[in-house]
Amino acid sequence: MRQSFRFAKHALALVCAVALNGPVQARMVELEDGELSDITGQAFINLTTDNNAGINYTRVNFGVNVDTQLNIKKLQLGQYNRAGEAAGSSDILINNFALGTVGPNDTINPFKITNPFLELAYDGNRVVGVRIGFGEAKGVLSGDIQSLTGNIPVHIKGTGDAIYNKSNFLQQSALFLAGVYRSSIVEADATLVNSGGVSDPVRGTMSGIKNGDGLNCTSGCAGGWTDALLGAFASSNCSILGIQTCFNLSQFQSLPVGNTSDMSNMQNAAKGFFISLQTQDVAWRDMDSNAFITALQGAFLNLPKYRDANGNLVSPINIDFNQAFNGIPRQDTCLGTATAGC
Amino acid sequence: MNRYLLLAAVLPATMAGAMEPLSDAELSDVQGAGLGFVLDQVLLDGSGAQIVINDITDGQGRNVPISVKNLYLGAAGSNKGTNLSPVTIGSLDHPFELELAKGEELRTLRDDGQWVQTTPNNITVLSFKFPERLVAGGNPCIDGYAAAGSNCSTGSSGRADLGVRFDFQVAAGRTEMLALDFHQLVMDGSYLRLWGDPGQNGNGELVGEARINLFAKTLEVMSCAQVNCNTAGETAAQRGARTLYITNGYANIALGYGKSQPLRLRSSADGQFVLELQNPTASGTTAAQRQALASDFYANAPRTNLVFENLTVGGTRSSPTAIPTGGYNFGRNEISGLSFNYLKVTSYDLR
Amino acid sequence: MTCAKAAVVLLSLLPALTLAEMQALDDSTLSEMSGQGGVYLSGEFSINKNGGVLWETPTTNNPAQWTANQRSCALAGATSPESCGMRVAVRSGANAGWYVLDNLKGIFSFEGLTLDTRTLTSASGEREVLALGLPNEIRFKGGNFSFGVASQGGWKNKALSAANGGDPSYQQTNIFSAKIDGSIRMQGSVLVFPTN
Repeated sequence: MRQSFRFAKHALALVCAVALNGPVQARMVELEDGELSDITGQAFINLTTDNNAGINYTRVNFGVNVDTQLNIKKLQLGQYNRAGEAAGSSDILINNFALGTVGPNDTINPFKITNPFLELAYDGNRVVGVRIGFGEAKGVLSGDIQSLTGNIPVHIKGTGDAIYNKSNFLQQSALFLAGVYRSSIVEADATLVNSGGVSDPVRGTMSGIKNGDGLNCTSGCAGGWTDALLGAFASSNCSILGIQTCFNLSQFQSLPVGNTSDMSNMQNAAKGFFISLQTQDVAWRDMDSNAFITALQGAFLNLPKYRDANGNLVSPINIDFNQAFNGIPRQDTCLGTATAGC
Repeated sequence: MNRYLLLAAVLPATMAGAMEPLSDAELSDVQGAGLGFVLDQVLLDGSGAQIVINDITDGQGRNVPISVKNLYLGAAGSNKGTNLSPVTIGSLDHPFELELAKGEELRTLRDDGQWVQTTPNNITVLSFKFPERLVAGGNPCIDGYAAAGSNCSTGSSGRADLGVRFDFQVAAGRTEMLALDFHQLVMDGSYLRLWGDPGQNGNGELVGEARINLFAKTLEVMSCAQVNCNTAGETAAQRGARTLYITNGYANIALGYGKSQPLRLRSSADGQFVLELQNPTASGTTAAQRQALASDFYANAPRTNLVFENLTVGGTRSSPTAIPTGGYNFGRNEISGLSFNYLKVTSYDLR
Repeated sequence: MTCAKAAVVLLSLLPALTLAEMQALDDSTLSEMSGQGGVYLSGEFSINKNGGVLWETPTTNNPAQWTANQRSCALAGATSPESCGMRVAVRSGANAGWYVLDNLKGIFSFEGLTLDTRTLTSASGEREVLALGLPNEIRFKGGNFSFGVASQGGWKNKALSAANGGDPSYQQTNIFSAKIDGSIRMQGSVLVFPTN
């Protein structure tokens, strides 16, 4: 019995030696001092923990860089009856969802993701939330958004020109008197609202200026009293001065995530993009600001602001007034002649 | 040749079966191109074993061991592994199969029920597959739920219960446990196909196609933070509060389309792994060629679908397959028709 | 994978069987035995229980203090070194990196593996199949393996310079490693037969 073991051991050792294809080890020489040790067998997965206000978090981080261009025919999360919402609606429903775009001659402009992670939130020993997030994300996100629950900051910035084009004579006079000219730069922050201008982060179908918020003139406006006058023209019921200030999400068919003007690196990427499911309102850590952001119960999509070259927080969706009124057309996400729905 | 090697590996050194010579007529009938396997009345009970998965570290570089315990496989109705009975998976007509086949002989089931060729011509493919789905007829892949398809070859007696428990020692003194239990699991139509390809730089490499189908009547994921998941004196409602229930869920994960987008998984020369699905039109030089490649890809490449008809967190079920009540019901969740025009995943060291 | 490499991988998985001392049976005893097809096997085999032939076990777990033919396969952060198991490396393509099954070791024993033939009836008629009865119990003791990718097939000590027998450019990424202990109870058989 012993003999067969020894034989087997030698046979296996021979097999082992045959299977290896690396060059033979060098002869023994004196060790050099001061060589730093390095652990071989580095792993690309690690696990980190966190806690806040009684909730424990466990996060699995994947050390991978992902470049992708994909299409999903239907992305639907949370189709259930929810108080105050239309029957049959979903927390998140996006048709013809795509990440990345296709350029001329069927070249790919990928959506770039770094360090994706999966995180669980525990209250005691119950899981109260789970989220999938991207440490950094940059690229174009496209889709026909039917309804959205979450935090999607939109910043509208443009010249008064587009507003003037949409206004009638009376409205234009009012704007002129308020000191807003065609050449003025006017900005506003938009969030998910319902058609009455009330903030509606649950199953929102429109993005717009919520009731009480107004336009800010940041340059080219007349005098200091512009702000006060503009403040008097706060958005109410989705309009300022009769000009529409709420826009259907479905008209925004391609949205930039992070600063997509330079896709050769991950500078100015959006940090802390995540999709989560939670049974109660859960505060998730925001990767950028290190603060906690509360996700509402149900399904939730968080598209965070990103930092620009000067360190300022910038909304991921920056559109001008033209795009706000007319929408953003969908970019080509399919190979061949099709542009969507492939 | 390889088939005989595999057969030799399966046999022990001495074989004393009662063998009889085959007559010439019988010999000519056997055209063996592969080996079929059937799991006959099998049962797996790993409650006495522990598998510890290492090499996953925490933020400080310390190892976080993940223990895999209570692995079990048995017939459906085992009540999460407490009452295991054996199950037969596969049959003589629809077995698991390990074979060498020509690329032009292999077929894949498309979402609309057509069988199409997805592997290139003139190559030899090593293929391992689970019991196949059928061209016509067949059993419902999920009992009582037609949307998952009714062309599975596995019948109600072949559906399995599979479960496992993961213990994560995330920090000193804190262990989180996740217990997964599949009920009525069917994996018909899954396969892995591998073949050699000249590669993108003329360097030969191993490429493939894979499809993983998971159909389950229910999947329960229970979390606990205690030594044993059964806390004494706990009511069913308290236990249900830490369970995530998926009812009528299925996943068809498709990776790779042999003809124009094979799955490339390789280790890069600097010791990181790279997973790649190339642009299917990459080999076309004119717009017309690219259009033809794109149309073929969109028409025939299998897509990934993930459908949970009902996802509920918390609550209790009145029967092992009913939809739970009392928890947060997330309703229907679906990602369907996922197709990659391009994917490249490269690992890097997190430390 | 070429045939040779496939054969090597498969052969390395064959169990080494325990062989009891054999004695010749005389004719009268032989004639009393009634033949019944089938084989019943039990076995135990260990791989690299005391380390392998390539590397000696060092005294510390610090790669910088190892000599040129020493390697410890203990986990990151462990205090005491461990001997190393078998290593199998397969190149994934010309000029590419290597898939590595590393540190494969442990004691594996099974009892009650049977081999038999059976005749089964199906829709296409009667078939003779090989029935491999699963062992009643499979026991693992200190079973271990790692699966990863590496820049070279053979392991190199990253912490030593090339002059000392190491290679600072060597990189191995472990995708996962597992340690198995305990026993798995099994029942049933695997039927094997050729298919068209």
